[in-house]
Amino acid sequence: MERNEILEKLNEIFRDVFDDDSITVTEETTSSDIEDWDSLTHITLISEVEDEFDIKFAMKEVVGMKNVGEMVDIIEREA
Amino acid sequence: MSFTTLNFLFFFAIVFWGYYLIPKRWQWIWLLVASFVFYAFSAWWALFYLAGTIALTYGGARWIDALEGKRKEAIKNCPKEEKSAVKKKFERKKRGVLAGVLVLLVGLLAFVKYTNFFLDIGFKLMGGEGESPALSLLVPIGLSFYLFQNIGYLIDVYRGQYEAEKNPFRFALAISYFPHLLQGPLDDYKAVSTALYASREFDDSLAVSGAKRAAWGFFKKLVIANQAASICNPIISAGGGYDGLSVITCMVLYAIELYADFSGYMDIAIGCSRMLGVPIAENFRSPYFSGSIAEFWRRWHITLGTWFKNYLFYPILRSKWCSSIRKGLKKHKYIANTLPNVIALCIVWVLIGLWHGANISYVLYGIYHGGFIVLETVFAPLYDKFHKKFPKVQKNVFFRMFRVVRTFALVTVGYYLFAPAAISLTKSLILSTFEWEWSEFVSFGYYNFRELLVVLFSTAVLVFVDAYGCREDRLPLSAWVAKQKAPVRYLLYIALIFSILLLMVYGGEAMFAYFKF
Repeated sequence: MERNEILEKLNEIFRDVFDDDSITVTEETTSSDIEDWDSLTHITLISEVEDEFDIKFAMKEVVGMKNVGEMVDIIEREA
Repeated sequence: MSFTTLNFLFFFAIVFWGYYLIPKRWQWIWLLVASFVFYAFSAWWALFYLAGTIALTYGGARWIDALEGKRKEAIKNCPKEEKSAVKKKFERKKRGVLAGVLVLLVGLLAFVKYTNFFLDIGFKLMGGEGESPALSLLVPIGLSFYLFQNIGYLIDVYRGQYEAEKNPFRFALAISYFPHLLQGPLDDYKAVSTALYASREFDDSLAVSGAKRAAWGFFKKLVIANQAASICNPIISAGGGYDGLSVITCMVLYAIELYADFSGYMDIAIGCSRMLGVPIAENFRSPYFSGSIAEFWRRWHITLGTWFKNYLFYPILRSKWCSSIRKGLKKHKYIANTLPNVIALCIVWVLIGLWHGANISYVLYGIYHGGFIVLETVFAPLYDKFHKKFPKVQKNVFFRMFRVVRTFALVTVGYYLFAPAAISLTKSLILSTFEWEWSEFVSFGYYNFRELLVVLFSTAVLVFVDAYGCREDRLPLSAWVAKQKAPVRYLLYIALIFSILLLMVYGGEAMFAYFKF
């Protein structure tokens, strides 16, 4: 899957999880850019992404992801 | 050794000068020796706990790493169809080692801190009357902090976030480093260890800014916290007996005391560590300016929150159990997402309460705060709807102020449980709160006039500094001060030093509030 394609799918998931259609994620987006992105929604988000791409993040990835770009890296590698 | 003693000042002066005078390759060893000396000052026998837990964790982590190496080797050399079986076999072994060491570490903590708590509960449940049986156990100070530091490291190695440290003495330094040993911050192992092993040239700007930070911490502890404590602690430990207004004043003073005490300690720790060129984690960010309880815990004792999030909250939410709830209730999206969160929050908050001490008051304190956070989680969609309908409200200054005052009030009410740490005292404090007697309040103010005045003015300074620094887009006030012209700067520094010297309440070996945890 192309990175752009992954990002597009992620964008949909983000809008759905945070219930906000104005969100547009880029590779540089971090949790501080999205107001509701806290430890609770982080796990919901991770689960949704796992279901969508049929992958499983390792715990070190769940806690270590710095931005959306790193999430795309992992998806590109695993999916 | 407490930070606010002359002993510590002498100790730190020697550590500081020695650190920059000795050859650079000895610097980290110097810090290791200093840290063990520092800990030995609290009680020499406590060194056995420190060294023992470090040795155990070091060994466990090396073992996990060795198994990981063997796993990679075995997978490389085995046929494709057996790979997953081999992988599983080694995963099981690694998990076994992790579980074994964790059981020993947590077991030690549980034994030393909680044996009497459970003996007491068991005794009462069996209908015993009078004194419960109790073991006389010596609890080394800082145990729950450095055990958490050990546990975090071990789990990180298990997860493969970094390799296990090969040099046992280097590992020992990262755990026992004296600024964070007794009360945290619970540092990220990788970050702090990297900083500790680097050799350093003397940097005057770091030394000066570290000293200023420490001075600010001394002001908070010696002037604000100790002064507030001298008024409110006798009344809290007597369980009231005063009129309601005086009790409320005391509880507000306690809120100020606890924050000034704990964050003051952090300022001294961070300041001293900065003088040695080693950055350690921030633990507070204007917590009393939070708009909700959840936000309060993102700003108060930040590293403890992060620890529980990484090593307990996330693992619970990622467990098979929670995943199956999420999948099973897929049709009801709100419940599927909220229910696992609520379950995980309940477990975590009972344990955060218990972490503070073996006492039913602390457990209830955890449940009290956890309860509000659960409510915030459950009603989150309603809040969102409200704010979408009235988008201006959220940005309104008065609404923000209302939320900040409300959160402070809720936190202060929580201290009715936390401060006396005994249910009977909590009960009598609550009862006295509702008995208002104006003349008694006036005489309470009369007898404590000077102390109240000092607390009032010094707290006003603290509130100003925190209000300035509570916005994330702004640098702390110290950065602003550093940019001013020399006369302004020096006037402020001299004012700070003189107010410490003139107004401080020196408590000798006065313990910091969080030592007992």
